[in-house]
This record gives sequence, structure tokens and C-alpha cells, in this order.
Amino acid sequence: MNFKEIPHLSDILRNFLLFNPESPIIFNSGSFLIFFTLLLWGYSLIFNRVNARIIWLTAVSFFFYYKSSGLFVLLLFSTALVNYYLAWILDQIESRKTRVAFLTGSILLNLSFLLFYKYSNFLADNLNQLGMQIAERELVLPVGISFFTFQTISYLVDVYREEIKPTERLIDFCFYLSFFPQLVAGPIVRAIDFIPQIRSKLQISRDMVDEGLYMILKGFIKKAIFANYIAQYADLVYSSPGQFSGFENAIAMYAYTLQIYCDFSGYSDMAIGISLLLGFRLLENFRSPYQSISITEFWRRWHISLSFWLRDYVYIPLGGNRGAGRGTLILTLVFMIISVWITKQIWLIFIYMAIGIFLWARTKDKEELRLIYFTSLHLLLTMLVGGFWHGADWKFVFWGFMHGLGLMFHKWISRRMGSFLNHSIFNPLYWLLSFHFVAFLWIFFRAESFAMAKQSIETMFFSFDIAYAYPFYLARPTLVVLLLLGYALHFIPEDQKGAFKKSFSALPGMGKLIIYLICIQISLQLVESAVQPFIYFQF
Amino acid sequence: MMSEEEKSSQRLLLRLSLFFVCIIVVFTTYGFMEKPFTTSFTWVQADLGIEKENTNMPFDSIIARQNKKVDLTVDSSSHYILLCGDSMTEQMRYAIDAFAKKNGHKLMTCTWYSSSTQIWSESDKLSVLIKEYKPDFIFFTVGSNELFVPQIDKREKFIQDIIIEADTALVPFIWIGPPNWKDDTGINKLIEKNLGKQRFFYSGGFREKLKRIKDGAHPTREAAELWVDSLSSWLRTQSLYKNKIRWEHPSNTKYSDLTYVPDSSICAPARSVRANIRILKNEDVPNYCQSGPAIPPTNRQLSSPATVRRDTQVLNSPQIDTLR
Repeated sequence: MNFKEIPHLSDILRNFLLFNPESPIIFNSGSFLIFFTLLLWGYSLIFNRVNARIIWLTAVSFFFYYKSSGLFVLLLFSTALVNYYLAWILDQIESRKTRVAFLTGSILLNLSFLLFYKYSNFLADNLNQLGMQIAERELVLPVGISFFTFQTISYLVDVYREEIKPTERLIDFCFYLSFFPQLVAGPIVRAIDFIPQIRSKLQISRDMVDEGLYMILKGFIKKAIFANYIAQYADLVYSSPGQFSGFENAIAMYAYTLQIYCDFSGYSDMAIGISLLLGFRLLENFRSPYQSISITEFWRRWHISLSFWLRDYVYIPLGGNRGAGRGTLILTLVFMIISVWITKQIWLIFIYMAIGIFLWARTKDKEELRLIYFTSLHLLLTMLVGGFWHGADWKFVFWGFMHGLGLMFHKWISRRMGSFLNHSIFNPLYWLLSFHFVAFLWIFFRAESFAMAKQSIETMFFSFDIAYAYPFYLARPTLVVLLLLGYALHFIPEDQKGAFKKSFSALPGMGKLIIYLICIQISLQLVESAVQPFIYFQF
Repeated sequence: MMSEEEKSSQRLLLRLSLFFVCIIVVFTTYGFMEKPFTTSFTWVQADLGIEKENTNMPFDSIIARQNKKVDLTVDSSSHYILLCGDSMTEQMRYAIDAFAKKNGHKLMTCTWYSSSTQIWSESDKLSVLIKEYKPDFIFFTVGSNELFVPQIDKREKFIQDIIIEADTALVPFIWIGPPNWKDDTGINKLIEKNLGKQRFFYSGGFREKLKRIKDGAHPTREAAELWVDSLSSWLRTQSLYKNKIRWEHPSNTKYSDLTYVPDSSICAPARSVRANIRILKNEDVPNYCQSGPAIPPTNRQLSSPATVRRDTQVLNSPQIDTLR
């Protein structure tokens, strides 16, 4: 058997230790395996000493971030440092007005970094379209900035609400913010859930290890086998949808629907599994979301940590179902102005005025009805914020807007016809509608632009020919098998999935090892070229 | 001193490390092997029966094509097609010729290596070619040598000149965009801006998906075939001339029989040529019309994109290419 030339040790070390934008440490890469093995070995020596354990995990987390984003690690550190002191100062302030002002300032400070790195070019681009001449900067988006900014905001708000006390030590807060499994792509860990675990007595049980290994394997299969392979087809079609048939565009929609789920939930599963092996428990982030029979249920199962974050820090502060506040007015006006601005349709102002007058007249003496309207408006605004969080592009805002409308419609129809429509006989129909609503909107999420999305949808609706089905299968059998298998696994009932977990846990170590090796081997055979980054890294 | 619980946790962590070490050892050994145990699950385009690994081009099934009814809204007459442009015509002509033959058309290819919009514009060569061959349809592909030109806006004048040349002759004109291998500095946008989306076929979307020959720039014969497949599907469905020319896939052989050849005298003798490819040269602008000798470009060895620019000298010795 012939072997390739072995690289020099110093080259290996340099590649492993120094930042290289081409090779970040990603969960499904070989470098992560080495990183995690070394981490575990070191961790096993010190895990029973609280301070040593925290310092070790914080150091490797910062190293992990350095490998992904280079010197942006300083931004992460300064964010931790500043917010640690901001929380302490906030906690000391007694006057309510001062507390509100200080919290607002602190949130704006945190958002300013996010706005600068993620949205400044977007803003400049839009202003330039209005005739201004603002030079766009070449900015690199620090990986995971959206996630750790949201974490710091939730921490500050929780301190403000006196739900938690600020962490006593800076290192604890650094550890919370930088904990590497969830650092770059979530789940968005809430301080109230995580900080109490930091200094609690750590015990790693056999059950935790089995569950952790199972979750890592599950995430790996989703990402490295399903998402990576299916992505090749989705990328292909969405690079120029007009050149493909309607059938292929329809398959691309289903393919991307499965891909984004496998990609993102795969990452979350691995993050949860890795945390478990280190003795920490992160909350579930996905619960078979495509099984939902309504759009409301979908958002309770999809990216749960973001949904809850938006509920607790956007929807409820806006007023939730308790009526409107100042925030509602400001945010509504902002989005109305923006919609007129981007569409350049002045008549929209009159439409908004007409809607406003109609709603005011209708709800003049009907408090209950007004509350319903405001609840719907808050849902819509929350989803607009959620959409904008996903990316600096109007297509994401539109995606959020449509989900907001979906939520509003579901709330409205449940209220109006709830008793009749609640019958389980309608569930397959509801599932079909909800699933296709979500899948359809993913087109806007994935397509390069609105024009591309429009092209894909037009082709799908006006050039669809089912005669393509069989030849398509002949041409891309692996893709078809993976799609069918992926959806089949997704729709397996929860208790059955529990049985998988039990069977895996019951295996001896060697059995688990063999399953891991087989899965890695399959992923290598399906791999396109290099390790594919996770979709949510860009957010 | 560690408690029993802590000892048990430590043992578990060490065993976990060992677990991952085993995986690393297996796959490191595997990685160093020259012939790893992989079977081919490559991403293939299977419908044409040609091996095209990692080409990732649009799929259009043979069966579905065969099931299609003949579109009576499309002009079914035979056309005389002129394919001209830079070195990208080299591999592309085989695939376009296959389409042309099967649809009852005739193709003439004029390749001008290393040419650019500037060269075509300043030489008025397109007008002269139109005058010479009287084509019913023109495929034009230039721009590959200008992908990375700074101050691309200065090229707009040349692009407009070329379009005016084609439009003055009232011949359907399709500009096939260069198949980018890297981001361009704006040539594609510039052509599209001046010609419109219905007459400009954007090829930049394929990027890495087109397999290239050694120079890293020109698509291989197989990749060019798939490139033309995409062009053809665009031509049939989205182009301005979708009703002007019958352009079904070669695998759908029934179309050649259905093509109407109005009068054989239209195709001959003025438009018939001995070779169906001709190499244009910088120095022969005034007298390029001498028909006959042409040069086979198929066996040229290009080692890097830079060598493409030196081709003109290499190809100055004429040879004859009789493809048919």
C-alpha cells in the first residue's frame, strides 16, 4: 500500500494554530476532531477544579473564535469586557428612569457594532439609490456577531428586569458569551439558563455521554451527509433558475427546505451534543418543525431559541397582546417609511392612512378588537425584525414580513372559525398548507435576489411538467434517495426517534465507534470538494 | 482528593478522548493513502450518457424532450448560422453544430483568437462577415479576454458599435457571455445593459461548475456541450428569438425531419463554404474574405490563460479543417 508524503510537523502546527480564513474550525471537519480531542484530554485533567475548568474552556473558546474570525476575537473580548461592566453599573442604578436610559444606551452600543458590520453597506447602498454618494466599505462580517450581540442584549435586559444578578467574575461572563459550541451559529443561549451552570458541581454521567454522542452523530449526519449533498443541487438551480425546468425548480424548493433544516438543526444538535460531553446542557433548538400544522406551531419548533428571544425581547416589550406602546408606533412608522422608500410608491402613504383611519373607526369603542389588531401588528413587526436579523437584504425582510402575515392570518382564522376548524380531520390539509407556505418562502431566503426568486417561481408555475419526474430520478438517483430518506426521517414520530436514541445508547463503545466511522466514510464519499460551512455562519 | 463521582467523570472523559483518537487515527491513515477506499458518488450529469463529473449543468431529460409536441409557433425553416467570436468558439462550435445539424441548419464558425470587443469594433469585422456569409442567425461570443479589464466602462462604446453592426444587418443576434472562471470587472453587466436580457446569454453563473482545460479558462469539450445545452434551453424559452429558429436538442432527432428547407438555392452557392470554420487574424482584416483555408484549433496545448493571448502568432500558418 502506497502512502503520500507526510507533511512537516511545523506546517501542520502552523496550519492548526494560526488563523486562515480558508480553513476555520467547523464541527464537521477533521481539524475540529483534533481540537476537540485535545480539549477533552485537557479537560479531563482539570474538570473538577472550577476556576481551572472555566479558564480552560474560555481559552479554547476564544481560540476557536480566533480560528473562525482572526483578530475579531478582540471584538468578542471587548464586547464581553464592556458588557460585564455595563451590567454591573445597571445593577447599581436605582432610579427607574436612569435604568431605562442606561439600558437603552447599552443596547444601542451593542447594536452599533452589529449595524456597522452587518448593515452599513446595505444602508449605504440604499442611500446611494436615492442619489447620495456614500462609498461602500469592504467589511468582513465577524462570524456569529448576530448571535453574541443578541446574547449580550438578553443578558442586559435580564439584569435590568432583575431576573438575574450580573456575574461576579469577568471570566464567568467571558465564558458565557464565548462558549464555543454555540458561539458562531447558536442556539442563542439565555443567561438565565446558562450562567447558573457555570459554577455548579459538574458531573458527567454515562447517560450524558451517550446522549451527547448521539446528538453529535445526528447533527453530523444531517449536515455532512444530507445538507452538504443536497446543497449542491440547490446551489446549481438557484444560480440560474431560469435555465431549469419547472419540475427541477420545484425539486430545488423541496431540496432547499430540507437542506436548511439539516444544516441549521445539524449544527444545533452538534452544539448540544458537544456541550453535553463537557457537562453543560443547552436547550433544544429544533423539534421536527416541518411536522407543524400551522405557522404558529412552526415557529414554536423552528429555531426555538430565536423565536423565544424575539418573543421576550421584541414582541412582549412592544406590548404583546396587551395593547400598543411607544415602541409599536415608532417601529410601525419606521417600517412604513422604509416600504415607501424602497418601493418608491408614494401612494402607499395613502393606503397606510386609509388602513389607519379604517382601523381607528372600527375599533373606536371596541377595546377588545383594538387589542386583537395590536397583537397582530406586534407579530408582524416582530417577524420583520426577525427577517432583518437574518441578513442585510430586503429579501430577508420580505421573508419575515410574509411569515408575520402568516402568523396574523393563522391567529385571525383560529379566532374566527376556531371551533369548526379545530377538528383533527383537517390536520393533513393544514400540514400541507403550512409546509408549502414555509417551503415557498424559503425560495426568497435562498435565491440570490428577488429577480431570481421570481424567475424560479415563474418557471415552477408556468413550465412545470411531471414528465420530468422519471428522467430526473434516472439522472440524479442519489439526490432523490437522500431527499426521500431525509423527509422520511424528519416525519418519524418523536417516540420512534427516542427508540433510535435508546438503541444507540445501548451499544458498546466499539459499536458506537464503528457507526461513527461508517457515517464519516459515507460523508466523505458524498462530499463535493471541501468541508461546507454552515449556512447560519453568515448570520 | 477526587470523589468517586469525579473519578468516574474523569474516566468517562478519558475514554471519550480515546474514542475520538481512534477516529482520528483511522481517518489520518486513510487520508495519507494514495488510493482511499472511495467509490464514486460523484455529482454527475447523467442524461447524455457522457461522463461529466462535477459539471453541474442544467438537466433536461431526453425522455421529456421526446414527449414534447412539436411547437408550431416556431419558425421551422432551415437557417444559415454564423458563430463568431474569440477562442471560446473553439469547443463550443461542436455542440452548436450538433444542434444545427439536427435541426436542419448550417453552421459557419469564425474564430478570432484573443479578440476583444475593441478589436471587433475597430475592425468592423462583423459587418464584413455578415456581408460575406449572409447569415440568418448570429451567435457571437466575445468578452473572455476582457473579464478583468479595469475601467470597463470604456468598453461600452465598442459593445455598442458591435450591436449596431449586427442590428443594421437586421439579423437575429445573440451574444453569448464569457464563461467566467473568476469575478469579472463588469463586462457581463455592460453587455447586458446594452443588449438586454433577451439577446444576451449570461454564462457567468456557471463559474466553477464548468470543467476547464489545463489553462483554467476554456471549457472542455464536454463542458462546452453542457454550456450550449443551457444556452439552447434559454434560447428556446427566454430569448427574443425563441420563435425565430427551431433549436431542439440533438437527441430529439425527429426535428431534423420536420425542418423546412425552403429553397436549396438560398443555401448555395453563395453561402456554401469549403470549410465550416475559419480563423480570423489581426493582419487580414482587409482581405480576410478569402475563403477556404482554416486552421484546426482542437489540438492546441494551452498551459495557462496567458498563453491564450499568444495564440494569434501560433495560428498564423493556415491549415484546412474539414469537419463535415
